[in-house]
Amino acid sequence: MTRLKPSLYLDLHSTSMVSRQTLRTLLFSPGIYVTLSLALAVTMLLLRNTLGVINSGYATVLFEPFVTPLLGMCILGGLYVALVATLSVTRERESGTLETLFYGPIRFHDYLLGKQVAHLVAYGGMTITFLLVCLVLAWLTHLLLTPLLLAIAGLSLATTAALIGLALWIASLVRTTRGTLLAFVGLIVVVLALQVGEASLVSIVGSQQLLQFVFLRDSLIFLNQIVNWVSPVSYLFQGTDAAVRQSWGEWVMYFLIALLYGLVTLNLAAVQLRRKGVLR
Amino acid sequence: MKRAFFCLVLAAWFALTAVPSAVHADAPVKERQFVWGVLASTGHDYNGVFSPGVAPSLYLLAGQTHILLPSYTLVYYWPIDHEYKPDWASLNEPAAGTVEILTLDGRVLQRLTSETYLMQPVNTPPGSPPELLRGEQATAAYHAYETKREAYYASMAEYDKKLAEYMRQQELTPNDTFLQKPDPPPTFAEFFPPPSPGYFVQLDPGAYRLQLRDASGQIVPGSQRTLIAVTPRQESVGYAVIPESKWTIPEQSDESSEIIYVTAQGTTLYLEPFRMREFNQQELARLSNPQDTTASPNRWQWVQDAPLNNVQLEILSNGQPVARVAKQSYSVKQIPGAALGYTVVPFDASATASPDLEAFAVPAVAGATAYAVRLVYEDGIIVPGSERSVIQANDTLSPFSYALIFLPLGGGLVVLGWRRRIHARSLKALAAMGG
Repeated sequence: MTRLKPSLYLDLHSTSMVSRQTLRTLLFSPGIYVTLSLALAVTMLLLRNTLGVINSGYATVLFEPFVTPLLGMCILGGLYVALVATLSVTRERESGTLETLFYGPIRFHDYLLGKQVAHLVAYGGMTITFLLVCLVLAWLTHLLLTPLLLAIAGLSLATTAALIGLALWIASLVRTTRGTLLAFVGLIVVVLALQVGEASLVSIVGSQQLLQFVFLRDSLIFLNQIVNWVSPVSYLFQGTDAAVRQSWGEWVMYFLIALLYGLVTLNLAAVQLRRKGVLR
Repeated sequence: MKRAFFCLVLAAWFALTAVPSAVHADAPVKERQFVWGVLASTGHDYNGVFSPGVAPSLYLLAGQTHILLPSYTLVYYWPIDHEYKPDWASLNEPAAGTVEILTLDGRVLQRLTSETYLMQPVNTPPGSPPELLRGEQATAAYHAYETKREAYYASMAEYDKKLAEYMRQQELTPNDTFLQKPDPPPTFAEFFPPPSPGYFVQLDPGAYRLQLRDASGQIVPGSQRTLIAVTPRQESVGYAVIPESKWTIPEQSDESSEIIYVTAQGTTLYLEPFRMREFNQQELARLSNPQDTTASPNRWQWVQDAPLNNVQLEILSNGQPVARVAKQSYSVKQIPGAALGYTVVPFDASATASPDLEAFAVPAVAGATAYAVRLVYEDGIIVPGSERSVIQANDTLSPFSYALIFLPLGGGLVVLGWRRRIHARSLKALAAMGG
């Protein structure tokens, strides 16, 4: 088995091989299509609701109606590819494929980068398809579609790269498929609980002046600030907010941070995989 | 007997303990304390702000002139509002000295000395905020006010004298038709408080330290605060969007990323533009109440500012200006009869006292499903952040739209079917080779 040290040198051939193989597996599984259809179903529900709101009054002021569906697709699609990425590594380790693979001349970085690129390409395909469908829907409904969607979609590529990097790192830390799945889903549940809890408490304290919850609210705000630093999804939200305000410098900053996040987690995953080994 | 005695003692104990505690709750304990009072500028008006010792930070709007009023008063806790309140009526003693504004690391940036100020009421147009006068200007304005007031009192005294004389004459000669009742002097409704001492401060955005140093050079105990000069995150132009048929419930558009959707029936829209500023929610709340704990530090809030005047509304179709509309005054008339509804008509000063709304009227553009509006100054320069798209959306989603949900699933089925066919072909080829 090769025991090459992690380095900046990349074997593009190996990366491309892993990437193509992974992408083929992804395209030949139904998950990606089901996820996209699910995102479109949610979009349709939201648009139907938006049209209902517009028709209930003579004039209605609305924020760009395709932004929320796109963000939903970015999160759903991003989480799906990240989950598949983490499972693909653990499954390959459990089945012994990794062991066999690493007897050949392939580095951990090449292998993991191949995984990251393949899942990112799949995500890119989902995003493009989604945007095309949005274009058709905008034409059918006369709802406005603006370049803001492109800014969000572009940013989501970087944040999804970060999400996949994080998922690969989790896969390198946990040995079993069940453990990886639990860790990944647990992380999502914790982040979601924190954000929902914070939003509810902010609303309760703000609207009903319930001062007994101020400490709890402030604690959750503090925890969420930490989450904002470690969660790639929060970079998507912050970058979207910057794009809405047309603060493009901030948007670029979040894009670069997310890319860097993806690279760092990928390297951490490679180092961890090398330390732990790829044996079953 | 013993039980009855025990019950009596218990009842007496309850009666004795319960009543005084209720009395105690009504009289909060007041403590003499150094406090900062502030006449804080909002940019177009002034708010009174009270900062007791329990609120370690004082928030002011950056770039505006505020007046700091250090003083001693009695402070008490008011549990209903969960806040400390001042009892100015019992004690309002200005604290003298030099106000110091320092950087957070202790470098003195500004030393402020006391200056007199006066808030001069401005009556035209009605509801206008008072004008802040300082130093000599304040003294001169108050002197002018006093002169006018004295002249009014003198003319009132003169009038009273003439009126008394008139009444006396009327009593003496009730049938004298040449007697004329004197005219009262014009009403004098102005009221100026006398100029007061205060410390004027204007700051750039950032965090500072604030303290008062007394005549002996000592820092006045309880006067140290963190001073935060707040600035809005973004500024924009907002609109109150009033459809003719729904004028009592206007829609609010805060920022240019929002779109105004109208229904296919078409309606005249009345747009009232305002300057908007977006603040951090906690900073915004603490600008008026430094003790606030309910506002969230990680949320943002748009605040409607002064109305925008001296501008015109430009209507654009396909990106090209097609019309310009001036702001006009309108009255709203309820449709007579049992049916509900309103009509908006141009304001007629002879018919009604004041207009119901002052806005730009944008009629439904015939045949256009999308157009845009923006504000321009008189010299033609576009007001930043004033652009809005006005879109006429379709009523419903067509059945074809719902079919789009299944597009990816269909694509997936094709791919999977193709793969299965290739796989089967490969197996057949392998079997053929084996055979």
